[in-house]
Amino acid sequence: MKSTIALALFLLHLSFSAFADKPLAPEAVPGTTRVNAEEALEHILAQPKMVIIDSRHAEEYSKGHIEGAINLLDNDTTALSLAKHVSGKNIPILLYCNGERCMRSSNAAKIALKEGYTKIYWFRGGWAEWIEKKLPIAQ
Amino acid sequence: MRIEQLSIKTLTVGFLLVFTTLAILLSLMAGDYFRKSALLAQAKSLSRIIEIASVQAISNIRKEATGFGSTFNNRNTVRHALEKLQESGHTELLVAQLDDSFQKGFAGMGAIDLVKLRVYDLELKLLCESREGIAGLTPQLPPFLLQRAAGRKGVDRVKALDGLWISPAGPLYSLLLPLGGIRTSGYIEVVVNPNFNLSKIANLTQMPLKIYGTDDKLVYQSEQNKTDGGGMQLPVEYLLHAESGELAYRLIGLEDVEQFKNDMRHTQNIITLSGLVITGIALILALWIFTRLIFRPIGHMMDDINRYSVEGKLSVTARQGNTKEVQALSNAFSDMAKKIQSNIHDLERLSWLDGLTGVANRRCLDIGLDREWRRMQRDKAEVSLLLLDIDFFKLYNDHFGHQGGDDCLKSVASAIASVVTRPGDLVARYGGEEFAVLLPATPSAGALTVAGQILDAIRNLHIVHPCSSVSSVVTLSIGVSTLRPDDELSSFHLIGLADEALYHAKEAGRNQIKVASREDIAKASGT
Repeated sequence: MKSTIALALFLLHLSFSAFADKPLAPEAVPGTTRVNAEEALEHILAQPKMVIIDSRHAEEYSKGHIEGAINLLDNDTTALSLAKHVSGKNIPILLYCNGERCMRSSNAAKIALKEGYTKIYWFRGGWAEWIEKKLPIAQ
Repeated sequence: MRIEQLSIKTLTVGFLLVFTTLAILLSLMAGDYFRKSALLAQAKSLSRIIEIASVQAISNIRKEATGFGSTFNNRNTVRHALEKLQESGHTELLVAQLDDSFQKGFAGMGAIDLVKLRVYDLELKLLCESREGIAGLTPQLPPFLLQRAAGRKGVDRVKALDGLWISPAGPLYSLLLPLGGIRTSGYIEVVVNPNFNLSKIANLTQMPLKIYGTDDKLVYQSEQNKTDGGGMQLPVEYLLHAESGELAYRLIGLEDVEQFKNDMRHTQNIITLSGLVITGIALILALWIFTRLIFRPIGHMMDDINRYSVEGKLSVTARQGNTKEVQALSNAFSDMAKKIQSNIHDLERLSWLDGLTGVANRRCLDIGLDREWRRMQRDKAEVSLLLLDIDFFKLYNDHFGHQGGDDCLKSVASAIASVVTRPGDLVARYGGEEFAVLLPATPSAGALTVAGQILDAIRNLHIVHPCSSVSSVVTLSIGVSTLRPDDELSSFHLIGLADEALYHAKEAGRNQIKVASREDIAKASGT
C-alpha cells in the first residue's frame, strides 16, 4: 500500500515537473531583432522584400498563416533551403512559429544567423499572438 | 409581582425558558434564512453558468465568423471582384460574391446564422452589401464599430473588431475584418443573428431556457420549456448587454429545484433540529450547573439555618465541591456559627457561675438541687446539703474593706472547692458570705466528714481575722442536713434543715459543725 502511494506521488511529481520544466523559447536570440505582432506587421508593410518564414509544420501552416509567409520547418532550415527563398544575406527575414512555447523559429533564426543573414527579425509571440490580436489570416 | 416574592431559582428558570424560546425561534429563523440563502446562491450560481455559456456562444460566433471572413478574403474570385471594384467602381461582381455565400453555402454555415454581408471602403463608407439576408438595416457601420474603427491608426487598422449591437430588427452580432488581408483595401462586415447560437445554451446548461430580445420579445423557447409542467422551477436570469451598454438579451433558465428544495428542506430540518437539540442540552446543562453549584448549596445552607431556628442547633457542615463564592460563603457561615455557638456556650457557663468566686451561683444550686433531689428520690438514696457561713464576715469586711472581703470570699470558695472534688457534688455561693455544698447519694456521716474537711481547710488557710472572737483566723460555721427524698418531702425541707443546723452552729459559738437534729428531721417529715 505504502509503495503504491509512493509510486503515485512520484508519478504526480513527474507530471508536474514535466509541465513546469517544459521549456519556453528564449527571451532573445542574440544577433536578431525581437518583434511583437504590430512591429512584425509594420516591418512587413514597410519592407516589401522581407521574406516571412513560417517555421511550423505544413498542416499548421495550411490552416492559416501570415499573408505572404513561406513554410519552412526549422528541421528543414539549412543554408540551401534558406538560399532558395532568400536571395541575399542582407535581405530582411521575419521568422515565427506557434508562440512562446515553440522552439522552432528561435532555432531557425539561429541557423539563419549562423548562415550569415544580417537582418533577422524574430516574432517570438508567433501565431498565438497574431490570432489573439485579431490580425488578418491568410489561407 | 414584587421582587421579594421571587426566588433565584424561579428567576433563573424563567430566564432560561425565555432564552430557550429565543433560541428555538432563532433556530427556526436560521433554518428558513439558510433555505432562502441557499436558493439565492443556487440562482446566482446558475446565472453564472448561463453567463459562461453565453460568453462561449459569442466566442463560437466570433470563431466561425472569423473563419468565414478569412476564407472569403482569400478567395481568388473575391480578389478579382475587388480589383474590378477598385478599377471601375462596379460593385456587381462583389455583390454576386457576397450573395454566393447565402445562395450556395459556406464552410461553417451550420454553426452560425449569417444574416448580412457588407463591404466598406477605408473611410468606412458603405460600398455595397449582399442582396440576400435581412433588409432594413441602416446603411452604415453599427455605431459602436464606427466609433472604434474610426480612431484607429497604423497596423491597428487591420485588426478585427466585433461585438453585439441593437439593430432595428433586434440584437445582431457584427465582425469587421480588413478586406484584402494585411494590405487592406477596405473592410467586410459579417453580420450574424446570435439567436441561433444562444439557443444552444439550453443544451449546454441542460435547463429549460427562454430568450427575450429587445422590447422583451420572446425570441427563443426550448422544447423542455414548452412541455414542462413538473416540480418547482427556479427562474434564473442572466442579462446580456450589447457593446453600447443597452440590454440585448434576457436569458431565463428554469431550473427544476424540486430535488434541491427537498434537500434544502432536509438541511433546514437538520439545522432546526440541531439548534433545538443543542438548546435542549444547553438548557439541561445550565439547569444542572445552576442546581449543582447554586440552588443546592444555598438550599443546604438554608436547611442549616432552619435547623438552627427549629432545633436551636447550629451545625453547618462544610461541604466540598462548591464554587469559590459558595465555598467562601459556606466557610464564613460555618465560622460565624462556630463563633455564635462558642459565645452562647460562654454565656451559658457564665449564667451558672458566681462572678466573684467562680463557683456555682444560687440559680445553679437551685436547679442542681432540684435535679439531684428527684434523682435521689428515684434511686432511693440520701442527699446531703451543707450550708456554710464565714464567721464575723461583716467585721472582716469592715476591717479590711470590700476588696479584702472579696479576696477572702475567693480564697474560701477555692478552699471549699478543693475539698469537694467528687463528681456530682456541687459547691455554690448561696448568698453574701454563705456557701452551700450539695452532696448527692451521701449519708449524714459522709456529709459530716466533708464538713470537717472543709472546716480544716479554711482554718489552714490562715487568713488573719483580727475581729473574730472565736479564732485569730477566718473560720466557718456549717449546718448539715441529710434527707432521703420521698413524696412528702421537698428540697426546701433540706435547705430549711441545713439552715436550722447552721443557726444552731452559730448559736453554739461558731467555728463548728451542726447536724440537723433527728427531731427537726422528724418534724420536717411529719409536716
